[in-house]
Amino acid sequence: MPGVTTLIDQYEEHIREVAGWKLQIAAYRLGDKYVCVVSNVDPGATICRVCAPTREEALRRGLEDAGSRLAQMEISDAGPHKQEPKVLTTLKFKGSAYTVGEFIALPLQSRMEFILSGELVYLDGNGAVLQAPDAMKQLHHACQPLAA
Amino acid sequence: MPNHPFYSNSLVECTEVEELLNAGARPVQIDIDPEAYDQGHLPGAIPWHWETQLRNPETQQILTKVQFEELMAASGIEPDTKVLLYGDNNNWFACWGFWLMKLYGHENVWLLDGGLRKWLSSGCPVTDEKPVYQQTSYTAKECDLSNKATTENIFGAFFDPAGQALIDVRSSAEFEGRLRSPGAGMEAKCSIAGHIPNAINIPWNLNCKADGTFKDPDELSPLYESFGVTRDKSVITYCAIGERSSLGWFVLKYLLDYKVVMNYDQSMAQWCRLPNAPIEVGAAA
Repeated sequence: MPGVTTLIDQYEEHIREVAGWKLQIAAYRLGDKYVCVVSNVDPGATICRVCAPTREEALRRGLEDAGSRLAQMEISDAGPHKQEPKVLTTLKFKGSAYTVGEFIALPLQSRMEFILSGELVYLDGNGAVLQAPDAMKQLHHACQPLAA
Repeated sequence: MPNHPFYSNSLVECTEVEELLNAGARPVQIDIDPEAYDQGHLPGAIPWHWETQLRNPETQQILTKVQFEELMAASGIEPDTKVLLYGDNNNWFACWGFWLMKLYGHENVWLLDGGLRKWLSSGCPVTDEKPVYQQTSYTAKECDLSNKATTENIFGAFFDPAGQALIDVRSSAEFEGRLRSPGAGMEAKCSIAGHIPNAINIPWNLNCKADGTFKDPDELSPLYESFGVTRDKSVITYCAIGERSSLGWFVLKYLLDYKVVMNYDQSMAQWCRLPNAPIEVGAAA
């Protein structure tokens, strides 16, 4: 690539942990200034990019900026998923009742509409209501081919 | 370059860029942060901003055919122009660009393996000059929707686990509902944390080496098969806003040669807005 000015040099990367986040920190010289790019290793997003007259200043400001941005990213504890012991047997929609097999046999468009309508009720054999995610899990399982 | 036939059709290494540019390829840097381009880019590269140029600003969906044609024309790209895409954020948004160009039938498009980070860390030449290309006339093909998943496709995959796989490529923290976006400043507008029930969590970074380049297909293939995502299945990838799922789509379609792969580009951002759409939290069963 003739005639191209290479503006960047002194590129370095390192990993550092800040406030529980593993961060990938890249710094390089860009002409007469220095750039620091901070990303989280996982999920892998670029958190900030800063420019400064010196490498040390760029790194300091990059970490400072990343720290304040990461403080807004709260990782909560969703806790382990609790599978309800209820077994899905019946699905009710506007006065009609379906067994799991009957529901699965409906046209896909109907199944989709029923689920998204919010009016589909998932029941176990005792008439107790299942939460949608647990019911969906069982519906999904019912669609699995039987093991030979 | 890994000794694999699919690489040459879609992926180039830094060392191969000069040859591609000498053959007339147009480099394009795709980011969500415009400062990344201003802080040094490939010689001859133009910038595309994912949020304002690669999505329909009114609908937040893909560009219409007319919008796509206007972008290509304004970028000096003709239907037979070779285009080299790369970007920041581990090529997430460049992968979206690749996917979009394929949707509209642009054949000659490549991805720079490892993106901007790999280019910089390899000491490759960069410039701050912004090139100006002459406006062209561009006529796109009709949108190939076989690569784009809809909500109905998601339900179809849910009810057909033997034939279809739904992959959530976000981090495990996002999948489990413990984190709502991958990074501060790039909130994904997901109002509800969690995942589509029965999706398989294969985080995007499992496709990549530590330096951001893709793993070899010989490593990737057993990875997907270990999750039950076998070649006989049709596969849908999704994430928060569709950019990381474009990366997963790229890997399956172009590095592993899976036949039916769709990107649910609206991803959790749309799923969360569907009334009564089931959302699961916690780790996969």
